[in-house]
Amino acid sequence: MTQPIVNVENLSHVYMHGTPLEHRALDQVSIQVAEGECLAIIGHTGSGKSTLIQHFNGLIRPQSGTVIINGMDVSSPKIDIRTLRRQVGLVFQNPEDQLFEKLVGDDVAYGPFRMGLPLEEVRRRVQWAMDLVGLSFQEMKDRPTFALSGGQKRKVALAGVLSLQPKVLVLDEPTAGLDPRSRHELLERIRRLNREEKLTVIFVSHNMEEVAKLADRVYVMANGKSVCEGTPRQIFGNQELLRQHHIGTPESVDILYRLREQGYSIDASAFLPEETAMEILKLMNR
Amino acid sequence: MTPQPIIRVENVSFAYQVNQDQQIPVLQNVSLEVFPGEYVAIIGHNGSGKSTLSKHLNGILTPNDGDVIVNGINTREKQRIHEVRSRVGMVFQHPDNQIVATIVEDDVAFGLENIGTSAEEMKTRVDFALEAVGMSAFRHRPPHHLSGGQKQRIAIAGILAMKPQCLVMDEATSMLDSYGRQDILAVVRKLHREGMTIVTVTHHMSEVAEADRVIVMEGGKIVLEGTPREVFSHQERLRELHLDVPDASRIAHLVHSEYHEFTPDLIHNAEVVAEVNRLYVRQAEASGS
Repeated sequence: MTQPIVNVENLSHVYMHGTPLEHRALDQVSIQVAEGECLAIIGHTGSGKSTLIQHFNGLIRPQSGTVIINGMDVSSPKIDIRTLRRQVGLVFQNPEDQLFEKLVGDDVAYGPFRMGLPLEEVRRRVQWAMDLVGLSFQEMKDRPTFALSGGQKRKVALAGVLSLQPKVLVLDEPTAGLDPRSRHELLERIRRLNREEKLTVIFVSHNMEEVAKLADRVYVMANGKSVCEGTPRQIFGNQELLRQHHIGTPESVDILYRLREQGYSIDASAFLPEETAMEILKLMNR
Repeated sequence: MTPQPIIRVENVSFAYQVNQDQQIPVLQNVSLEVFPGEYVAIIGHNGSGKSTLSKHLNGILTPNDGDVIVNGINTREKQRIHEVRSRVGMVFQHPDNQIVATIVEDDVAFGLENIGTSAEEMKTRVDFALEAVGMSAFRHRPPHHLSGGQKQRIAIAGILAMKPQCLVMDEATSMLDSYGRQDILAVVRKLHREGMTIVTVTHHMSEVAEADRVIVMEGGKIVLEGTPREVFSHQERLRELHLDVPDASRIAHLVHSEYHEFTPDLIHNAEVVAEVNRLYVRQAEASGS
């Protein structure tokens, strides 16, 4: 691997250090993300996923260990946080709750405007970012944000982060709470950002269908540690690992596991409904 | 004699008022009856009106036109709204927005305090409610340290303490991971077995498969209604409505299209496995004889 764009080594983080409520959220975590990759981080509630990603744009500084983003050392006191945050766009859970401007266009323009870019450039970026997430600039820029659907608001929030033209996009539960249509559409947009705009994407998710569809590679977190790493195929094929760390499986994989438990010879590393259907047809000699 | 419905929605129309001269119509002439002990799932994409409909079921919203009758009480009767809400309780999407107290048992008792329940009765009901959702061990804990699934179980306990006849869930599992969701579904399944009427609004088709009846909403109207098996057999129609089917249905259809012996209208994972077993045994017998 060439120099990874995100390089985390032996990162530990303790909340409420030295109090009775002391809690070790990260314990010697090491992960590497190559430029242009789409990486998923999965794990049970409380496994440390959110604490980890908050290090990527310096919201949390490393207590011990190192975090290097595109050559910038996040633990260095001399780091220029603003430059870091332009390179790493972080989209929180339910980002639609954080829209604050009255109009869609103003909300997306806030970041580039604060960067002090000339008005023409701000306008160009807003149009570009809205295009990328599938919001028509002409039609939507003057709409009031409160009158949008949940899925649309989430796209506005995403466009607001993209308008800073980050190199790395970090998303916490990007599709939680969206309906199936908005979910498919947003996933498709994120995939295109990754494949066509060559944006490095890191996302946290508990939706395993989403992980199966989107990720090139998956890290599994448990109790503050990174316990396993592999392709979705390798991870979902490992039933023991998933059970042990309380990670759900895609519905179609559950069917394969059940068949395997009944003694059928099954390749459980398949994870799309189409593949599961193929496996069943194979069993039936069809 | 047919049983009396616990909730009757009659020709309800509703529009959100944007400003003085602009309205967004959300429900158009919707009629629906929910009977005691039923398990009803309401599905539809965002903006189809399903959440708005569910908020009419215990008088959070009242219709512009038409009526909602809960156990004989019209939800327009403001002075009897407490009666309505003690019959029909509601759990919402975000776990964090539903917790009011700093200790679990206080949170569960909150509704009871408001209706002036005696201390003794309160303790009995809180015990019962926490037991029902499997959270008794957490009664003295602060709720903000619990997981999303545990918080939702506390929210349900708060409703159960009021001893309602019907539990309405508005996307109550959509912010949870699959384990949290399984926890909630197990609790709901148990309550339903014990006689509770359940109405659930959800995007998760494997949850819908557990209901007795499914109602599909589109453009503020009910466009499809039936058992989960009936509804999920309309795969084309559902796709037009931008809705999914459970993976089990999808897989059964795919296998069926290549191998006609395989029953297409399956909706549960276990049914797919059983169908494989059935055909496998038959094939083995055929080749053995």
